[in-house]
Amino acid sequence: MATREPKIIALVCNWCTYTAADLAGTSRLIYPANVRMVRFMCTGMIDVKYIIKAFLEGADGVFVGGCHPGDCHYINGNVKAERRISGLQVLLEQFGIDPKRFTLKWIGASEGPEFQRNMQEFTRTIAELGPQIESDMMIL
Amino acid sequence: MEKTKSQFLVLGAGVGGICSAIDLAETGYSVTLVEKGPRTGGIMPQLDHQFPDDHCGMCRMLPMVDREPGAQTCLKRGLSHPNIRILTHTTLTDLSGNPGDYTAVLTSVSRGVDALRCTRCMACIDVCPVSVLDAFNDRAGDRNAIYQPFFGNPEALPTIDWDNCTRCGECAQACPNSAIDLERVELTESVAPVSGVIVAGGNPLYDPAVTDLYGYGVLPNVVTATAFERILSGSGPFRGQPVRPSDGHPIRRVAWIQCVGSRNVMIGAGHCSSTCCMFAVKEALLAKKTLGSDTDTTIFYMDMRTYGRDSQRYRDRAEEESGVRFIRCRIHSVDPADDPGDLKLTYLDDLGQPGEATFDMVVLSTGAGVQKELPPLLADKTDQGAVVTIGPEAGLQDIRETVLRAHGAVSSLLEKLNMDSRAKTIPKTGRAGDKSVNRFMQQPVIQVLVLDNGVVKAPQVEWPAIEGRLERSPGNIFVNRLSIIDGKDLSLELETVLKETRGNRLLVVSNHIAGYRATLTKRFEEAGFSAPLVEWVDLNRNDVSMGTETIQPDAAMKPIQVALMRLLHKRPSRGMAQVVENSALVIGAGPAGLSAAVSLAEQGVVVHLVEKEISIGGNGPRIQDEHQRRPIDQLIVRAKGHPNISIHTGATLGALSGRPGHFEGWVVKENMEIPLSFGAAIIATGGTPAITEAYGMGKHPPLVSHFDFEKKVLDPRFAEDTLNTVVMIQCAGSREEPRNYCSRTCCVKALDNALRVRQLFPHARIVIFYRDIMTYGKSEELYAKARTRRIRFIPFNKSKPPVVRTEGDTVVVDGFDPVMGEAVHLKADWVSLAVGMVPKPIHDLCRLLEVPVTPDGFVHEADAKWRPVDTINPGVFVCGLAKGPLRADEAVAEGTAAALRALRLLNRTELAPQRHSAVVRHAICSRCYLCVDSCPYGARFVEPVLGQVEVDPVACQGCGTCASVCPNSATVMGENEDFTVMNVIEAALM
Repeated sequence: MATREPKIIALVCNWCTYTAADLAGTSRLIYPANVRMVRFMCTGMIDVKYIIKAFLEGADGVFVGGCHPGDCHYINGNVKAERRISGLQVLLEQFGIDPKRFTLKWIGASEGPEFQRNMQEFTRTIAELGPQIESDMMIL
Repeated sequence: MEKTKSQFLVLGAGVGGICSAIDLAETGYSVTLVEKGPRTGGIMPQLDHQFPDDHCGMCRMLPMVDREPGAQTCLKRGLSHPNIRILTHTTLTDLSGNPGDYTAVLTSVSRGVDALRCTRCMACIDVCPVSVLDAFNDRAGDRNAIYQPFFGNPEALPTIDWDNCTRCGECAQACPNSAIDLERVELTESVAPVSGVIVAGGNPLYDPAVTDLYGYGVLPNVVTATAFERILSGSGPFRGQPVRPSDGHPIRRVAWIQCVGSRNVMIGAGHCSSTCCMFAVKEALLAKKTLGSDTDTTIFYMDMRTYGRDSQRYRDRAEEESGVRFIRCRIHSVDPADDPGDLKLTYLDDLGQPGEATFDMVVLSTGAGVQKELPPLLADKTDQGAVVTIGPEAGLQDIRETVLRAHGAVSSLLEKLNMDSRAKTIPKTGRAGDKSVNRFMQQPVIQVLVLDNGVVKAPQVEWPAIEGRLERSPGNIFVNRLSIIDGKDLSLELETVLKETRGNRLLVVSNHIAGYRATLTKRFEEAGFSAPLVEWVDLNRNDVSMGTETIQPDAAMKPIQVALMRLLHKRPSRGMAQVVENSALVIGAGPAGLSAAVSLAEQGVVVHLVEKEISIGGNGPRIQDEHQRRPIDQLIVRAKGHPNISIHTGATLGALSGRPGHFEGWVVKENMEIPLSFGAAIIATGGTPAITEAYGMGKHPPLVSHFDFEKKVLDPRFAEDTLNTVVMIQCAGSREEPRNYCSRTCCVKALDNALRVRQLFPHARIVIFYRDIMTYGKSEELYAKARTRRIRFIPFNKSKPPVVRTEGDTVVVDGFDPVMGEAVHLKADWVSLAVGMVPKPIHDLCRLLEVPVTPDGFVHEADAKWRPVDTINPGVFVCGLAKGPLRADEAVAEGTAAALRALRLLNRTELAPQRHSAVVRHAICSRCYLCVDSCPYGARFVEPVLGQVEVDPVACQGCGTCASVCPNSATVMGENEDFTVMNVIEAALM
C-alpha cells in the first residue's frame, strides 16, 4: 500500500497559539512540515462544521490551539470552544473518524517549545493511525 | 489647536508608555513613542501571568472601538498602530520652545543590522562568541552580543548590544547578505511641533547584587522574582522545562523572601514596593502549576500586603486550596546546605519558635530600585504643564496602577493644553478611504506582486512555476514579477504596476519581505490599496521554509492559496455608522465622579452629573484632614461653576435605552422625569463605612469606628480629658468571609490617629492589633514613624482575634503578643475598630447599564489589570469606591482616568461598523436567541418591535462565538463568514 505524508491542519487562535507558532519559528524550533496552519481570531469562532470540513477535504488530523482558559482576548471564547468540542469527540466516532485524529490544546503566546512539542506529538499520533480512508467516513 | 497637526512625544515604551501612546493615538493625535532600549513593552513580555487571576491579558489594552486600523496581535510581538511611530534605541537629547509648540531632538543609535538586507536567518547570533547575562531573563540565562530583542515576531531585527560587542567581526562574516555594520552610528532628527510630552520612564527594580543580600550573585540558586518568572516561562532560558540553574536538578522546594531592597532602612530603602507580595503569591501558584502541585512553596513575609480588591481572596486561595505556606518572619541570611546547591533558611514561626528549612531555590522579591532623576531638560518644563510624568513619585506600581496613571497623565495633559478633542476629525489612516471602499464593492480582481528579492541570500523559489500555477488558478488574477535589486528600482517598477493594474486586491508574495513591509504598506495606501485589501505571503517564514534553502513550488503554493482565498472574500463592513453624542452621564458626585465630570467638561463634553444625595461631594466633605479635603472642595467649586456641567441632585437614573455612543434615559428627581441623552456613562456611586457587629460594636460606648475616633481625636475637647489606653483593632469584619477584601485606607488612618493621640498624650498606652499593616508605597514611612513613637503593634491571626469584653463599666481587650510571647489584657478608654468600606447598593443601576457586579457588590471592571476603569459595556466606565476601596486622592485620579476612557469614545462623531463585526440574516434567523446569551460583550440585543436580533457594531469585537452557536448559520462574521472559512480550509488542504 502506498503511504503518503499525513495531512494535518492546525486551526489556531490569532492571539496566543499563533504567537507561539511564530515564537517556535523565530526560535528555529523545527516541527513537521506537513502541518498547515489556518489562523482564526478566536477558537470560539471555530464551528464544529469547520473541523468536519477539514476531514472531508482530506485532513488526516485536525489540531485546534487556543489561549489558556482566562487568557482569551474575547474573555471566554476558548472555554466555549472546549464545551462545544467535547460534543464533537462523540460525533467523530459516529462519523467513522477516530477521535484521536482531533485534538484541542491551550498554548500560550510564550510557549513556543510547547507548540513544537504538540506538533511533533500530534503528527506522530496521526502517522501511527495512518491516513484517514475516505470510504471509512460516514458523512454524506 | 489643530488636532491632526498635533503630535505628542511619549518617552519610554513600557506599560505606561504604551498605554498613554494608545490613548493619545485613539483620541486622534499622532504620537512618537521613544524608547531607549531595543524593544517596546517594558516588563510585559517578561511576564506570562498576572495576579489576581493568573491570566495574561495584555492584548486587552489594544483599542476595542474602531479597532481595525491597529494591528490586532499579541503585544509581546510589539505594538503597531497607524498613529504611533515607534523609535527604539532612541533618546531625547533636546527639547526647546514653548508648551504646545516644542521642538524635540531625538538621537537614535544604529542597530548594526540593515533591516532591508537581513533575512532574519540568525546566523549572526549562532557565531557570536560573546556571551553576556541576559537582562530579559534577569540574568537567569545568557545571550550573545548580537541578539533578537522581540520574541514571537518573525520580522523583528537582530540587534547589536554595543556595550558588549567586541567588534570581532564573526557575525559580519557569517552574514550571507553583508547586512551587518560594526560601526555604531548615531542619527539625530528633530521633531516639531510637539504639543506635549509624556514621560513614562518606569521604575528600575532593586538590584540585590549591589548590597550582597542573601548571597545573590554568589549562590547560583538564589534568583530575583523576575528571573524566577523567566525560569518558569516557556520563552525563558529553560524553554518551559525549568530546572535548578546550578546543577539542572528538578525544582521541588522554593522559598520567597519578601521585602528585599524595600522596608529596609539599613540600606536606605524605607519604602514599601507595593507589588512584590502579590507577585510572590502569583509565582508560588505558577510554580505549583508548572513544577507540579506537590512543589513545596513557602513565602517568608513581614506583612502580606493584599490591598487590592481581589488580592485577599487570591492569597487565601493560594494558602487554603493550593497549599502555599506563609511564614511571618524576616529572614536574616541564606546559607548553603549540606547537599551542594541546596539552601538553608533559619526562621522564627508565628509562635516565636525557631525553625529551619532547606530549599532548592530561593527567590528574592526585589522591589523598587533607586528612582532615576528626571533629566534637567524635562524637569524644568514640568511646571509648564505640557510635560507630564506618569507617577514616579508613587514608586513601583503594579500594572493596574500604571495603566490608571497613564490614562490620568493623558487626561491631564489634554486638559492643560485645552484641547477640544471633538472639534477635529480623526485621521483615517489605515481605514478604507473612498477609493478603497469602491474597490471593496467591486468583483475581486487580484493583482499578484511577486517580489523576487535578489539582494539577499534568501530561500530560493522557482518563480516561473509559481507564476504559472497562479495564472491557472480560478478567478481574475494578474501576476507581475518585480525584482528587488535596490530600493529605487523597485519603487519605479512598482509605481507603474500599481498605476496600470486592473486589480482591486493585492497579493504580495516574496522570498523575503520583512524589511520592506512598512514602506510598501505606505505605497499601497497611496495607490488606494488600504491595509485590508492587501495580503502578504512571506515564504521566508519558518513555517513555510522550515529552514530549507529551496522552497518547492508545492510548499510555496499552500500559503499562497490560503491568502488568495482570503482576498477573494474581502468585503466592506456592513451596517450603518452610528452617531456619537458628545455628552456624558456621571452617576455620583463624590471625589471620583466630580473629577471625571470636571475633566470631561474641560475637554468640551457636556456632562450630566447625577447625585442621589441633596448635596454634592460624596464622602469628600466628611474628610477630616484639611490637606486631603482641599482638592475635593476645589472640585466641587469647579463643577458647580462649569458651563458644561449640569448637576442634578436628589436624583437617580430611572430608565435607560440605546447603545454605546447614543444612550437615552431619564433622571428621576422629586417625581419629575428629566429626559437625557448621552454617549457614555460613568459609574461613580461611591461607598460608605461598613456597618459591623464585630467585637460587639454598637454595644459598648467606648467601641467606635476609626472614622468616629478620628472625629473625636480632632475635636479640641478630646485633649481635655484624661487618657490612659487606646486600643485599635484592624480588619474588623473585613478580610474574612463574607467581606473578604482589604479596605486599603484603614491602616493609614489608624496610624494617623495613633500619631495624633501620641502628640496629645505623650504617656498614653497605644496598642494596634493588626493582621497585616497595609502601608504600601510611601505610606510605609508612616508605619516606621509610628514604631518609633512607642506605639505597640500586636499581630494576630484571623483565627485568633483579640477578644473585647466588659469588666463593670470598663472595656477590656485580651490578646496575645507573639513578639513578647505573652498574653495582654488592656483596659481601654477607647477601642477604635477599622470597619472598612462597602460600596453603595448598585445592583439595580448595574442591571440598567448591563454591567456585572462582584460578589462584594462592587462594579466588575472589564479587566482588573489592563482595563481598570472600563466595563464590559463599551459605553460605560467606572471609577472610585464603586469599583473597589481606595483613598480619596486615588479616587480623584481614577476619575480622570475614566474620563479619558470615555473621551476616547466621545471624541468620535460617529462609530463605523468594523469589517469583522457580526451581522444577522434575519430571514433565516429562527429567533432562538442563543447568540444573545453567548455574546461575551452584550453586543446582541432583541429589537423589541419585530423581535429581531440586532448587533451593536461598536460593542461587537468580532470573536465569532455567536456565529458558531447559531444553528442556522444566520449570523455572518463579516469577512470570516462560513463560506470564506470553508474555502480557506479547502485551500489549506489542497
